[in-house]
Amino acid sequence: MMHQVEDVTAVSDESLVDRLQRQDVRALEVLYERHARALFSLGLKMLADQEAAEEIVQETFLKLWQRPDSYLPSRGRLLSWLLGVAHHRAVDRLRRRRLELRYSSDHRFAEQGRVALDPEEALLASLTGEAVVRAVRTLPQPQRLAVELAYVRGMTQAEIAALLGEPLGTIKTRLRLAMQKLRASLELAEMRSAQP
Amino acid sequence: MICDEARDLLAAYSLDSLEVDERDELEEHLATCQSCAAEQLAYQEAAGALALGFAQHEPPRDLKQRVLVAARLGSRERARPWWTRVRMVRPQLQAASVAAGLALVVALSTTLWAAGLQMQLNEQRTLAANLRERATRYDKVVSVLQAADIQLRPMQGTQLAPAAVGRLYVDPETGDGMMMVRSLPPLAEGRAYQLWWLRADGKRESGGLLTWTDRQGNGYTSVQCPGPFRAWQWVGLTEEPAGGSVTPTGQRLLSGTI
Repeated sequence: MMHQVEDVTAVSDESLVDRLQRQDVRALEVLYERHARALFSLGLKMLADQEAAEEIVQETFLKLWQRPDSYLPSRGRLLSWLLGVAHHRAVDRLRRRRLELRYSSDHRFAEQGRVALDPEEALLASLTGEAVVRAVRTLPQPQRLAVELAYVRGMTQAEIAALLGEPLGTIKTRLRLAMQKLRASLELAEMRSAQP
Repeated sequence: MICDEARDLLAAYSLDSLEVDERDELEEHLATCQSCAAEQLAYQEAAGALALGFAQHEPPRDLKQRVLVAARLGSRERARPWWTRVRMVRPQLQAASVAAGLALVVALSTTLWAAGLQMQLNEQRTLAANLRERATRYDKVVSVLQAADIQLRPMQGTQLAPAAVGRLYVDPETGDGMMMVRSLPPLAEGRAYQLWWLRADGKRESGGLLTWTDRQGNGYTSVQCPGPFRAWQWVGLTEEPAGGSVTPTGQRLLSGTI
């Protein structure tokens, strides 16, 4: 008697996460195939270190494997959640690195700051997705820089304020405005593309 | 923590840019506040879009093996899904229909043929005009986001449209703004959604019309805040005749606080 092999690659992310509760390794494999590239690319962008980026991917999928109930479908798409976990872990590493640098050599820490302030518009230059580039272009340069320092360099608002010599309130406002505009631009782009 | 304080932190939270104590306090609030949690979700998606906008790189092949803690299952080969087969058939059916249609057209009188062409031309003209109008509307809406300052006010669906949500973005300097809505009841022909600004003394003024939504009730439009932004206490959205009304005639479907 032949058994039909189920095609799990067509199963939704949410159903695959359900299967992780039953320790279904094939479900984890499919989720890896769908999302590992995005996680790896984010890790590589933030940490500029392939080995560290691989560890981020591994830690993120193992968290999902061990605690699939920590992802709630009502709280958004799985990919966004995975990217959030990976980002959080990459930020932890960046902050540890900065602490190490601070205590080992103040000079090197200051060098890092100068790289972050490079007027080459690091954030804009490193983005390739058309909708995201358009959305980021709508931001004034100080807001783009604040997002770059926070999201890519993993700096807290207080660290950004200290680095730029700006009041903390100014940095908070910049980040808030930047993210409000980004989400609005991206939502608009999505609605526009859905129009017939 | 109250909602206003939480909302001030959501953007930085989505970027992992809060201090640990701020983050913990916010997460406590998010666990109990549905409205702020929904806002957080939108920021999380925007941060995710940033991540996906970076250049994409394939991880090394052996990483999957390291991540998988048990043997993989089954064959990776799979049959082509049924919907791809349907897609293969459709163009043939369409081609056959077009051929039959063409033969019929040739057989028809010159008058009918010309009339048909004229109708098609009119349809194409209407379509092009609609596309132009939508592109202009989109550009106008996007231009609002280039303002130095922008105020965001979420709107929630009332009992008449509990799944609906809206967001209002206004430049408080100029009063120029834009509104995005999701999951409203789709608009019927000859109807529009109208935004209203409301004051505590009962004064209300129109903020603009939304004349088009997609089948899911999603849409966007530019709006205008009459007078100082802070002079208004609430906003509401009602369904009105296509040209709009002087005062609201429909029931409120979305509402928000300024």
